Amino acid sequence: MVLWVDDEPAPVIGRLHDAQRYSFDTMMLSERSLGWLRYLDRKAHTSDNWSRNGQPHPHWDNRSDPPMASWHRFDLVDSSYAMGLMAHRTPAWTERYVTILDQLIERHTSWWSAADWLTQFGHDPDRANYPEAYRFIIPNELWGDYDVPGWTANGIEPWGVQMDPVAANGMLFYKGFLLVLLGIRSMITPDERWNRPFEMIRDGENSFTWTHSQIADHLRRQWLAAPIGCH
Amino acid sequence: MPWWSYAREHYLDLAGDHAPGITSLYYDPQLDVHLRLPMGSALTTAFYAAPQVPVDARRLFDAGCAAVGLDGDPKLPLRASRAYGSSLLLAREWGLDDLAARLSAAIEASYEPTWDGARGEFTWGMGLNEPHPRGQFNAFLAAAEAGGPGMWERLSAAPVTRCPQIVGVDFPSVALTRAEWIGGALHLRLAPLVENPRVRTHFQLVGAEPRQWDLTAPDGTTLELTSSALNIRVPMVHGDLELTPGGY
Repeated sequence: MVLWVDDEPAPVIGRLHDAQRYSFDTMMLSERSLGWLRYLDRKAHTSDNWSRNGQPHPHWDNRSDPPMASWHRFDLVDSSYAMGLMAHRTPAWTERYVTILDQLIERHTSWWSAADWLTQFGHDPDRANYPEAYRFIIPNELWGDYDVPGWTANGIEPWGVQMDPVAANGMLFYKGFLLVLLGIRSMITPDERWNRPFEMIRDGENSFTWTHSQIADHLRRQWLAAPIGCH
Repeated sequence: MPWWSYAREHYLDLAGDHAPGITSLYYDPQLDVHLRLPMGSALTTAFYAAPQVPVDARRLFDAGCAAVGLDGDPKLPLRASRAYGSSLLLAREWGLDDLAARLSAAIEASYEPTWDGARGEFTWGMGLNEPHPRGQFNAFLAAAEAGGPGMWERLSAAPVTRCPQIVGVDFPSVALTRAEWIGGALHLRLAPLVENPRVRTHFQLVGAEPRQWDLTAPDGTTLELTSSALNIRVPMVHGDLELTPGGY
């Protein structure tokens, strides 16, 4: 059996070369962090159904910051940040963060994680009736005739309908945040669970097989092909 | 990062040495439409850019804070938002103690920090009077609570230190608020939800060399070495455990 009791600072890949920038005096969870961990643990382990015929539990936030972030998946991804940070505070006890992250990732592979992409086809039929609050994110000259950011417009030309939200030319904010979620988990544990092929969406013919590395490679290629940015 | 080079010049107003004055929400190449917003919107960009390009992110953050008035005391009560949690995380990340203190005080006064005593759960009500804590906003506040100097950058820069692990903790009845190796010794801090010294909980140390360990721990703690793990039984009390390598 290999012993690896490493009392050296973690290996550093690129940017943090100054150990003083990371305080080893603070390697504990605060009472509040522990309390929020208990809350998120219960939330993540409360059974619900994110398939097309199901409905996420109402404790998953699909209300904040419309029209761009008011989707359940943002709650999944945002919740992962604290898991990664807490894992650095208790590096010899990480199992709970990983089990929670697996619950978050599992939901983020389900139909409801891409409910916008899978229901918002073509231009927004309601775009002539947007609330005044949307004016600052739509060009003045196109008000009433332009889709608000957050309307995913699956199927518009020149791309056509693309049901796989990862393979699609668009939906950057889906695959990018999914990679953040998968990446945080990969920083906590070396196990390869999400680098084994898994199905996404899981809705009959609209089921798509990916791995963490494949998604990352696909997005990398999209970025390299579009220096002005993906969409 | 060719895309970042393009973005910092064309979208983020970072090409020169001046404080960035405007930021892009999107560019639509189909219609050649470029929608730009005041610098307050760059607080979001700063949060996500900070682990990868911290110098650029800091410039965006400073300009964003000035644009929304975070260079002074925030106007109370704060509206429910993710921006104050993400800004607090970055203030702590970069050791901006004055800003962190002002943000912490404003969040404390505005966002209803709430304990569920029976469950030991902590959330923020955000002043929204909703049946469930607003998930996205809570998530940013929780990240800020867990963050600290350099930790947001470190999260993407390097994996959590690979080391022998404690497994099988009966969470949420029991948690560990400290679990780290220092100089070959394992330091644990036990945090039971409800203390009961007559009840013992059990967890394991795996991945460590099979050997004897010297123990400093609450009375009643026992160790049992097996071929695959070190079994640890400890009373359900708040307390510190230290395991130091002993003989073989």
